[in-house]
Amino acid sequence: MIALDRLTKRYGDTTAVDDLTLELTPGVVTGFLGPNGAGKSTTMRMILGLDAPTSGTVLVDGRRYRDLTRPLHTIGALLDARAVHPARSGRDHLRAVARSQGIGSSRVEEVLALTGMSEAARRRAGTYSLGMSQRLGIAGALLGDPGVLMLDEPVNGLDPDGVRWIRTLLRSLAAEGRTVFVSSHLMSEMERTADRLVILGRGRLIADELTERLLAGDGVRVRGPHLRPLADALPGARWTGPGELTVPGLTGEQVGRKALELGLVISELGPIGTSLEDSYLHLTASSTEYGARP
Amino acid sequence: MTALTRAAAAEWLKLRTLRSTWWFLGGALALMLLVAMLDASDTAAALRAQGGAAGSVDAAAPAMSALPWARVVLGALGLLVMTSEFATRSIMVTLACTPSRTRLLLAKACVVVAAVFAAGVVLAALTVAASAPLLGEYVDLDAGVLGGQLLTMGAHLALVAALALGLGALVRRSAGALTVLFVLLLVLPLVLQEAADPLGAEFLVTAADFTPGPAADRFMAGESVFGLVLAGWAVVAVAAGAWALRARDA
Ligand SMILES: Nc1ncnc2c1ncn2[C@@H]1O[C@H](COP(=O)(O)OP(=O)(O)OP(=O)(O)O)[C@@H](O)[C@H]1O
Ligand SMILES: [Mg+2]
Repeated sequence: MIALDRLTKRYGDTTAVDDLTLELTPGVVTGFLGPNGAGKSTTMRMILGLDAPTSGTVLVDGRRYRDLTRPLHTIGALLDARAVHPARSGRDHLRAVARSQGIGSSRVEEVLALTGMSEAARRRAGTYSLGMSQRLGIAGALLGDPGVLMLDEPVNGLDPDGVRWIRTLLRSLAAEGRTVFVSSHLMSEMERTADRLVILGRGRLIADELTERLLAGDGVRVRGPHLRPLADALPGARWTGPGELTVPGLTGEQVGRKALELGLVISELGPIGTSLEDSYLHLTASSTEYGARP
Repeated sequence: MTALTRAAAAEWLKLRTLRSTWWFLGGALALMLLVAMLDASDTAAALRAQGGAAGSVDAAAPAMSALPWARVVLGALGLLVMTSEFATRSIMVTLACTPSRTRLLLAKACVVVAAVFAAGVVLAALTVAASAPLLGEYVDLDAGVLGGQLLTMGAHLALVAALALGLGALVRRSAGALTVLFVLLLVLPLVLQEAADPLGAEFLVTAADFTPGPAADRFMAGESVFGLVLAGWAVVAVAAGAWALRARDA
């Protein structure tokens, strides 16, 4: 469990995180979304006590990070996969992390096997590909068997196999009752992985919803050969294609009844599903700082 | 195990698993051997020319003359223990493991002091073993005295490395910290001495003796009080480093 209370971080003039209040609960995967520079990484840095908040507080399992004596048993995090000394082998890197927490070397071998890094572990970390660095970082996050997992863009650089592996891993960690907090820019991936989505824009919270709610569109779509009378009968109906109407604010049954009344043939009738990408772009349209201007 | 011993165990593993650590020790040894052996053969030649008395040169003297070189190399090693964490950003992982900045720096200081002390004694012993024979009949060898001198040499290197570690935590960048170390060890005493005359401030000459470089020299020369002065510098630098780590974002 992670609790942020009115968390704010300013760097000079930029407000990276602005009055953010959030509670991340166990048993679910919470996805953390937002445009570049929205403040996701900064929020995670404050959770780990790497950056001190300008104001507000962060508690992990009810305690400040600095007060945790063996923090990796409480929360495992991967913020920057490349933040490893390039001249040290992956195995030695993990062993050092393990020592600092009083964890034995056999657990190091376990997480190496779990992440598929047993072979590469004797090589210097500087020779790893981005995907291998991510795997090493995830191995480090799992080392202490923590109740809270926090990963900043973990699928970045992973191959399709690795992407699926992360998805399954995160889902099973949440199913075991752990708190999983993961940021990403890959909407389709988040759509499949996260139960709940927190969207940040310019440091502020712009949405905090269950994934299914964000994906559910508003209204129905109806297709048929001669829908003109239906379009005239339903205020708000729009043509969204040849022979296709979109009707906001009504259920399928309501639209179906209307068509029956008018004696119209319908070939398709169903709820509008939006893609996460669409809802995301819509929600963040006004807070994208580094968007390309056409 | 206490939190401090766990952190120190991790830091020790990190130090010994970097090949560069061993390069630094090898480099320090090579420099010391070179300088000490040259010094010993020069001294022997000069004594031979002047007809000096047998047994007039301390067996450890050539090794001690080479020590300022090792001081810089092992100082750089101590400094890198901190600055390399910032350069590689591995400080993020390190602080996630050991969130208390003071505890982390103390753990690093313990490891650096112990490792450099042990390595320093070995380096000094090897250097004496290689250079003292070159003094020929002019060598004055007393095992008891030599033992004390080897320990002093090790301690002196360990304190300089701790001082450098503290500077590393304070400055964070390798080049910047190395510059500050040079200034403290070499430039500051010169400036103080040079400024004493024109300013008519004799006390500056005395002050110069209390800067880390000259203090280290006088510690080596057998004035143990200056060992305390050097230790004082190391403590101040580590304390300042701990303060800076706490005060600034990682
Ligand atoms: N150390 C720093 N000094 C100054 N500004 C900073 C610092 N760290 C972050 N920022 C600023 O804070 C804002 C938030 O950055 P952050 O890295 O948290 O964004 P993000 O959501 O992780 O972005 P991305 O999706 O690109 O990773 C940005 O405007 C960034 O420039
Ligand atoms: Mg980021």
